[in-house]
Amino acid sequence: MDEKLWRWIELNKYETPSVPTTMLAKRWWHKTLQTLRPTRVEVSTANSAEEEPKDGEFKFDEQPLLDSLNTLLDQQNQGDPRVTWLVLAPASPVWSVIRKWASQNGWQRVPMPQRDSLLTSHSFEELNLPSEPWVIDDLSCGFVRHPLGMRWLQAFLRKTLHTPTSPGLVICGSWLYYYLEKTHGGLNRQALTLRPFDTASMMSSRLAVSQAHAKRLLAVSEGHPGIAAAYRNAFAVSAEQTEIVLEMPQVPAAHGETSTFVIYALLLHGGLSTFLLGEVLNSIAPNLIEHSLNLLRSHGIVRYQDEQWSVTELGYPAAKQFLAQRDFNWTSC
Amino acid sequence: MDTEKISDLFKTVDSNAALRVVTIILIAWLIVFLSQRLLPRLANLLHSKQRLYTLALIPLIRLVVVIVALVMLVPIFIEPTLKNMVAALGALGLAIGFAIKDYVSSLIAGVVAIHEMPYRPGDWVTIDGVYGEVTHIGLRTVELVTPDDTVVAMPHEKIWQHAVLNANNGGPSLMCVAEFFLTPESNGVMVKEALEQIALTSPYLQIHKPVVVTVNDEPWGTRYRLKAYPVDPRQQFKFITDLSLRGKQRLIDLDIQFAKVETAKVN
Repeated sequence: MDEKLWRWIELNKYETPSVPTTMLAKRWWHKTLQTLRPTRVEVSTANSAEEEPKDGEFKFDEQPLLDSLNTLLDQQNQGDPRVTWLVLAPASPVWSVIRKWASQNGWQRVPMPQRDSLLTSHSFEELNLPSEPWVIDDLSCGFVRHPLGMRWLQAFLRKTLHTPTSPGLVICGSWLYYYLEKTHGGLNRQALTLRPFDTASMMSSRLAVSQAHAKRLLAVSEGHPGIAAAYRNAFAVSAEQTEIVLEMPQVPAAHGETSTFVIYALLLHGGLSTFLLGEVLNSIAPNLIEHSLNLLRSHGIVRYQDEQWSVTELGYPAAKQFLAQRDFNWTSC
Repeated sequence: MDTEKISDLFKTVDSNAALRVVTIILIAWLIVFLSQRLLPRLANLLHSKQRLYTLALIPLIRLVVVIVALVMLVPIFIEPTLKNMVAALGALGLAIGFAIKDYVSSLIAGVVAIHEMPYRPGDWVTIDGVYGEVTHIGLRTVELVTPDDTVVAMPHEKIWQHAVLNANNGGPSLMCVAEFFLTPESNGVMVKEALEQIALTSPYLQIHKPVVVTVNDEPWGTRYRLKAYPVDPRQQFKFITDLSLRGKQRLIDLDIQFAKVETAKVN
């Protein structure tokens, strides 16, 4: 395994890997066809993306990831009490290892409020950051895009503006980071993200079984390893196969405005319960939200799991393109 | 004698020339017709800048087609010598000056409007007190659809005398303002913060643009104006409604008092 597979780069140096022109042309042609002939679909509750995980699925080796975080920690001066932000795309493999890394290295997890409690009118206890190194393993847990749901996060941002007494690590979804950066006057913080995968990384991580497979995975995932892994698991490909088809789900054109709001809200929060989604989109009629959710679910764009709605790994590229097409507050990361 | 001179300007139109005239007019009409039918449909499937650019093509295509058709038609009727052209333009000027000057004024203003672009299809404009979205730019008139879904045909010549107020000027940025009228005792800092939160949590908000709250003291109380941009200019009324309703609710929750006419009278 390539030791340099997982490398942290500054967020502003992130560049989406280039996709072969033939694949872009194919994608454009499919989009044009869909735009000109929006297909009517029946809403059903069945969803292929919610199947149980199969045995023998590809999983990233945790140790190189943990090592990359350790290297990052070494690079950061431990005596320097700065706050480092790690900005992660949805389905990034880092989400699943960050707690393990924090406990291995003795970084203290900052307690966060329950999401539902963010909307109650009472005020929160004063936020005190620990005196030893601390970590927030998912900032979105302390945020709901609602006038009452932003108080904890804003108190946290104010707190970290003043120099804390110990180093801190904030793990934040890329959509939330982009939102905060735009709406809170530029975070001006040290923000890092994982370098996107290229075809060589796809091969060296054993994610792709052949060069052609690597190219296809890169085209659909735009370099996001977690998304590429989901496509690898969903579409079995052998090393000898030359004709590789990785079918991307498409966001239905019907109810475009509501679907835009729903997809964006789910990406911003990293998933929401039905109740909180209704609160976030309380200016949209609940029946429209429900209809849109069912429509998106039937197309494999969103799923309902553990009482939460979220965008599926396979649906993420299409959802991102859908928002980008509408110039809807999207981020390339 | 004068009649003879004028008739000398024109060529004899045989059946072949007539066929060419009909063909040119038909092709020009077909191109204009198709562009006016197909491009708006295509534009409605697109979003943001792509939609506005597609709509802006319609009057441009028509202008080019009309000019090309005229350039092809004139030599069929008139021998294009300097003498003939001066005589023909003189006769045309006379007719325009007496009979159809308003119509021609609108046509010329239409050409100026395509060149200077005080409005483009998809823009939200106020012309002569009428506010609406520009849906079609014709040869003589510009069509606006008001927020109450009324179609207004406004002659282009209005641009000679009236200011054209363009809210988004060919782009997707259109500022919306929600107003709140509160008593002068209200805690201004708290209100400003609460209103900013309302805008930041609206699903319609374009986050690339700033959210601003301005405050003005008036004799009857304090006027707060919440200014922000929606992602799509077509969502402006939904956006203002969302800001107003949620803003009011939040201010009620914070026990902020709204200014009333009666209060002003008593004071």
